[in-house]
Amino acid sequence: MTLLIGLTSANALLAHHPVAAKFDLTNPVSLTGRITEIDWANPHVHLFIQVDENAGAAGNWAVELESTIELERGGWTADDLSIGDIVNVQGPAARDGSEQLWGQRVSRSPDGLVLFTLSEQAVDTWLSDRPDGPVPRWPDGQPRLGPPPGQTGYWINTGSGSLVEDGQNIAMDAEGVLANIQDADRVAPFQDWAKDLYVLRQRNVLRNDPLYLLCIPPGGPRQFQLPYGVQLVEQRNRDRLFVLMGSGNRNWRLIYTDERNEVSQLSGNDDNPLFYGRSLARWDDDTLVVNSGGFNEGFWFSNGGLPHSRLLQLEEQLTRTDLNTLTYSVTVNDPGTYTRPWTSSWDLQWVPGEEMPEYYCQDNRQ
Amino acid sequence: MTHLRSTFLFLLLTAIPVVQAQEGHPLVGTWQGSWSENNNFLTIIMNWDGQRISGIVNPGPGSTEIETGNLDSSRWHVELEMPLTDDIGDSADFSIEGEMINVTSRTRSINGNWRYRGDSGSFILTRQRGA
Repeated sequence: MTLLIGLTSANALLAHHPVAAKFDLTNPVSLTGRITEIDWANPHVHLFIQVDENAGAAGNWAVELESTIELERGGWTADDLSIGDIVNVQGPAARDGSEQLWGQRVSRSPDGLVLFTLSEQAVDTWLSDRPDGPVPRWPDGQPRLGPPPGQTGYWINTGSGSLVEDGQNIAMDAEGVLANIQDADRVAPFQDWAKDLYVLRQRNVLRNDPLYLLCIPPGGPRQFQLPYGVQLVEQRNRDRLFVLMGSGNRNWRLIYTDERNEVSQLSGNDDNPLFYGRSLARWDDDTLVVNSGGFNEGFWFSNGGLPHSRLLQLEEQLTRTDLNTLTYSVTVNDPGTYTRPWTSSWDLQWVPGEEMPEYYCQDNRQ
Repeated sequence: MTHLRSTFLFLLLTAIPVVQAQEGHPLVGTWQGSWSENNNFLTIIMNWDGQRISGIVNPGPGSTEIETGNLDSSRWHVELEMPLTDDIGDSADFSIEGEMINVTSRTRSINGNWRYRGDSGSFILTRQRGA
């Protein structure tokens, strides 16, 4: 059990969906069987093993592992096992009683080699060799939010689990599941209904999260919380900025810097609220200030299940403080959900020399 | 009552969900159900402005609005009151009281009782997917 809790509290890069949402951590099983298929694909790698009657619960079990991205960063490949290999798998069984388990520990017989392990320190190690440097800038002195000329890279979140009001120190895992539900009051200035809904989602271990259940886009600050990074592509000749996400649904958000009014393509925010809202930005010295509104209520705007309403207005501030650090701060103003405006801030880290890993959300996981 | 039923059926078939909400205030969105032994259809599109629950009842010709709406989220208890007009044009208060079930689901429901002109009974209002 200690190992399982350790896994779910690991760094953001070591998690896709809350393991406990699908698997019952109180029901660990140990199975030994022969591999019949290896599905090395996102969002989760699966091993299929045929378990005999005398080796546990007989049947063809699906063993769910982390994504290919995490496993390959950890040095594992699809060739580490072969069809026909005998493995022992330990982990929690699926809540719905189906023949699925989370592969907490996978070992090969007869040599006992343990495979697909991931270290919580892997990300720190991975980032420790980055070169330092000043803020890269355009010829007119404006900070670049993307890579220096001729280079590649993107941003990852190594800190925030979910939105939490600045000044509060609250223990939670990478998906925003609170270590202590009594801390819910300190997360944000919720209205009563919003706090009760947030607590209910927390008690349900976020199992109805539409991002993972239905591949619904993560609007607002959640774009800067997801495990596979975010890329900021500045198109200065068109006065706009693309926000590309490495997680969830493969699409983009546009932020305009041409001082246009916040209007929709159709007939206004009331008739056409969007997953990403409408974002307008201006530079304030070295900080990009982004104001957004016109959101629909079809998504979660933060990890952890914090609700919002169509009255949501955001002011995001993005400040690159050096080559490797982007400070992200968002002020949430939603009189439909919160009793007052509040602010949450965290840093993102630059991943140099890489493009964002390809990761597609799969629908139909209901 | 037959006219009332057919009117509700027409409205049900022509109602266009205009609220896209899914994950915000749990009452927001389009809800449908039926009440009485005649299975009178009921469509309610509810909204939340941060202070008050409002809504259109049976949108289309002859629609009415929610007069009072309350959600006690500590126990997910819902109370709604609205005027309904019968087939001879008389209006009377129609009330609903019940518990919200599967609150975190997109297809949550309100299970409870209705009261209208001295009659009462049980019913289920279900939130419509994608609405």
